[in-house]
Amino acid sequence: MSKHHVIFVGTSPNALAAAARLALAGRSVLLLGTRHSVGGPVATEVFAPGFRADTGVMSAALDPEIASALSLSLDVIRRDIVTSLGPNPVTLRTEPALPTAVLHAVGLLRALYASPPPSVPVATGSDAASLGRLTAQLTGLGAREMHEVLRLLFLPVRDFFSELGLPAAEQGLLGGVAVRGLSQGPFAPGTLFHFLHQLAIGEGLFPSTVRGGLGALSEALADKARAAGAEIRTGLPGGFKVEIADGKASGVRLADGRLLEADAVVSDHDARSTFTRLVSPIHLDPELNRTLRQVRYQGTVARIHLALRARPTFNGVDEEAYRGTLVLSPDLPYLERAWDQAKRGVVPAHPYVEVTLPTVTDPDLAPEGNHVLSAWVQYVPHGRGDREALWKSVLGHLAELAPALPGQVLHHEVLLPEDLESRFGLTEGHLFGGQVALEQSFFLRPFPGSAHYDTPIENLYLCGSSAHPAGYTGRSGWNLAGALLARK
Amino acid sequence: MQRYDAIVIGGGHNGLVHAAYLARAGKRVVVLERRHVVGGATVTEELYPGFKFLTGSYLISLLRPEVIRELELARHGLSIMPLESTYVPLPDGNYLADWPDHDLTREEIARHSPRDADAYGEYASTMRRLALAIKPLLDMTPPNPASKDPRDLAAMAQIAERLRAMAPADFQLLARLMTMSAADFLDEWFEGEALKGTKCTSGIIGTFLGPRSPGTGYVLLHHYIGEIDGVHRAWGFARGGTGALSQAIASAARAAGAEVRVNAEVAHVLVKDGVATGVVLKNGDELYADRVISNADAKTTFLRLVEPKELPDDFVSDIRRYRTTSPACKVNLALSGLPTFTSLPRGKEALLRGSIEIAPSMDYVEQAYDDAKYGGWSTRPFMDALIPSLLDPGMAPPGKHVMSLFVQYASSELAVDDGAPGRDERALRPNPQGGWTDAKKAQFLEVVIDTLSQYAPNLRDLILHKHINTPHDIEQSFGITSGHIFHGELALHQIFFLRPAAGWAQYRTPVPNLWMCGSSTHPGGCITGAPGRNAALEILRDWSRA
Repeated sequence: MSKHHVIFVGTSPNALAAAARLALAGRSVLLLGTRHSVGGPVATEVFAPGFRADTGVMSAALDPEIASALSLSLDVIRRDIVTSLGPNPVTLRTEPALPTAVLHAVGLLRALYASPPPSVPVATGSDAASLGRLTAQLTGLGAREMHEVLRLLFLPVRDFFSELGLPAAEQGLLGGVAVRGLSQGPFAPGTLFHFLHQLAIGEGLFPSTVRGGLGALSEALADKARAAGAEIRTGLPGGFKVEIADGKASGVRLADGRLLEADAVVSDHDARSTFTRLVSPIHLDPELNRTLRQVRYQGTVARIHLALRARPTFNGVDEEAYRGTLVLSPDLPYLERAWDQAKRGVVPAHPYVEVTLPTVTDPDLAPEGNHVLSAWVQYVPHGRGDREALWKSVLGHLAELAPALPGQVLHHEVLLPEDLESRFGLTEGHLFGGQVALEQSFFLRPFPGSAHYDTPIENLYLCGSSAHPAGYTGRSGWNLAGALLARK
Repeated sequence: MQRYDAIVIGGGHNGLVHAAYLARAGKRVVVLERRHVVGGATVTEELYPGFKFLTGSYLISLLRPEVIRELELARHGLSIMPLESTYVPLPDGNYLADWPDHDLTREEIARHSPRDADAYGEYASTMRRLALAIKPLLDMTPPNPASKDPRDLAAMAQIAERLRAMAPADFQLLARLMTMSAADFLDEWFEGEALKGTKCTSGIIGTFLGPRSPGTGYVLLHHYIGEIDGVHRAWGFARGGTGALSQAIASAARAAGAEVRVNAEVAHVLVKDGVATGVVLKNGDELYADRVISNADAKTTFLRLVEPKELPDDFVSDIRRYRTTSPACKVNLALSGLPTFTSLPRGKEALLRGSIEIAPSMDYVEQAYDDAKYGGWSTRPFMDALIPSLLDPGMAPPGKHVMSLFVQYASSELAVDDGAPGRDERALRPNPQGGWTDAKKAQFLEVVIDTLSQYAPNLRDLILHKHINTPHDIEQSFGITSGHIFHGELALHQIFFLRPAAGWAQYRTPVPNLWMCGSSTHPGGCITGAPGRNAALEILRDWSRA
């Protein structure tokens, strides 16, 4: 069997984007996946006969530069309206005005995300150049704006929004964006950074999906990669191992024992998964094990998908709002209280919930006249295991505002963090490959010492949401591909 | 005519340090203190005959060795006794202790968890290395990252060089520690709940955050610097209480020629043609000086002592948003005898001579925070207690005792009875009581006593007098906005070059000849004397250039 240049383990949009870039540059690329579809948690699946939902993440947006470079045009559906549910719903059609420092901070993050993270202390010439450019971008803002931007990095969400004097409902909505996927409440320092991160990866109050569901985004990327010459094998039995000889990765050994050789192996899975399942422990030194154990995953998101007889009606909500997101997050203390319970391993009495009805804009996801309701339920601690209790709780909350809903439910599916873990191979069910906190970002992501997507094992690399930057924009893979191309 | 080189507004410890340095450099200085006694929150007050209460700070832990040495404070009466131990009583009747002696402590930790005992040595040496790495930053004027001034560039280069000189693993750990929570950090080292409970407290003292909040890792490190300075006998209890420190600094200042006036409240700063020229006292007296330096907190200084029209709008809004919401109370008890702690074994009574901490686990401290953060108080507060009379019998009448309790959390934004948040952080007015009514104050004092009584059941029987300073009281007595013991949160977004405001973190203010020297400036709070000293060095440099 001939040797590939690069073998990817995993098929998320990050791996697919990397593969496409490498293949377009003439490299021979192979991607291996255990699920029958590509995309990892960026997937659309049948969860009830005739009904499909985005079972992992609820939104994703490909980096525009990557889409353009691949000439990929997607039928993007932007959920351009968001409503805070409650006795007096508040609907936003535009973002609240935020200080220019936010814009500038997001611009800086985007610049940082557009290349491998500069290693600090500065290790290479290109690191120095990278850091130099960033510093220039920052200082170019002028003294006051520069200070404002730096200040934003450490601020709690609560402090920032209260400084702006935004109404409680808007704070609740923006706060929800800020804590999506985070194991923290909005009172905590460093949470505004996560809000900025969301904006930098195209998520925010008005996130996007694509027609056909997010799985179609992954499929479209896969098509581009195949068209460029990459080979994708899905539905393989699990249990691959990275083959290591003389401390270097030399390929991937499949479950049936066959060896697929490659110059480089890239894991799209998170660092802990990679170094517990894909790599035999004998290849790892104790220091690395310790470092890896310290990376925080803590998935606190559950997903609930409903097959509905008809579209529900929420009290007081405008008709047009149903094409967007409906949110249970009346104010910041609501979010903080939910986290208060979750951090103690208790499922909150009042979780943070985002609801979408994708069939409103994409009716093909369900049989005619029927609907899908897909919910993001947050601050559900991993391992608490009671699907029915969570379902009852969420249904109860929604039914208070949409009394006909219980009678409309044909089928429900609950995916707790542990279910997301087993379905998508996500450590502790964290949808983004590890907490996106400052101490696990940039040169510290996915773990300290892993700069430039390298790992301590030569020829083994990490791309994926676990690497820099987190998310499914394709960036982490694209950056890695660029780095690999530059080396050879 | 009352004409000076420098007028210092406020006789808190930093103001006194500042004045001493200026006087030693030959400047004519006067310190104007509102109260009848100097020291600010660093006072000893005999509220009941024979009983000396530590109504504000209680321990000296970060006082700069340079300050002690250069002002010859020992000669002026400062005598610091290192604390001999920490005692953490646990609800199950067990306890945890530690001592400056590393081996003894290791043995004690092993009693709870052999694994933790093994990790302890590496933890201590790691923290020491990291603290040593950032220690010089405490004693420097923060560089302005937006500035092209050679001094700022040199300071930034110096910091960069320091960081580059660190071992990569240490540097990465420091980078993580700066933004991590104390809880996550301690979880990486230890398994024992009691050990983590006592360790996490130095990440939250004086800070309205819980151990699980990001940013507390940095505070943990900040306080650890005090452990290093301990070898210089700069950490512990001052004979006579912390007030004795203020008296020693005042004595040093006077010996150098500074004038220190009490009962001299400043009403506002005199500004003429945009330049500070002196102050007006509450009694109408005017004093003039080339430089006016405020030891008062940033909000008091810029929202009360200076007219808004003298300040840029940006700056005023920066000061308004400077976070000062405070979680700390101070309780003092006059006791007829020593409390009996049920978990204290016979033969270990010496442990009462050290710190007594009510922090049996990180979750306990986190819960205490959670109770208060929405505008309330902890049902089971965290406490850092001391029985000063065991170290210095002069603190109480013979056979009797005083007990000092630092307590968190009780919000300066205590909800008023209608459920609305308290008055904090609105426009500064002479302190309406907001949520802290007399009834609430008395109620929380009982919560504190009840909590401590769980560990020492005979406590109530011993109480002769009890006193509490709530955040509101701290504000009223010591004149610190929101009663914040550090003049404002030691939060990452308002430290170093962002303290108290962007562009104004080098002790200067937007008003020429008006300077700052208190805890609202770098390196922030604790009894360091560093803001006072750093500001003095800056002013003297500035003076010699003029």
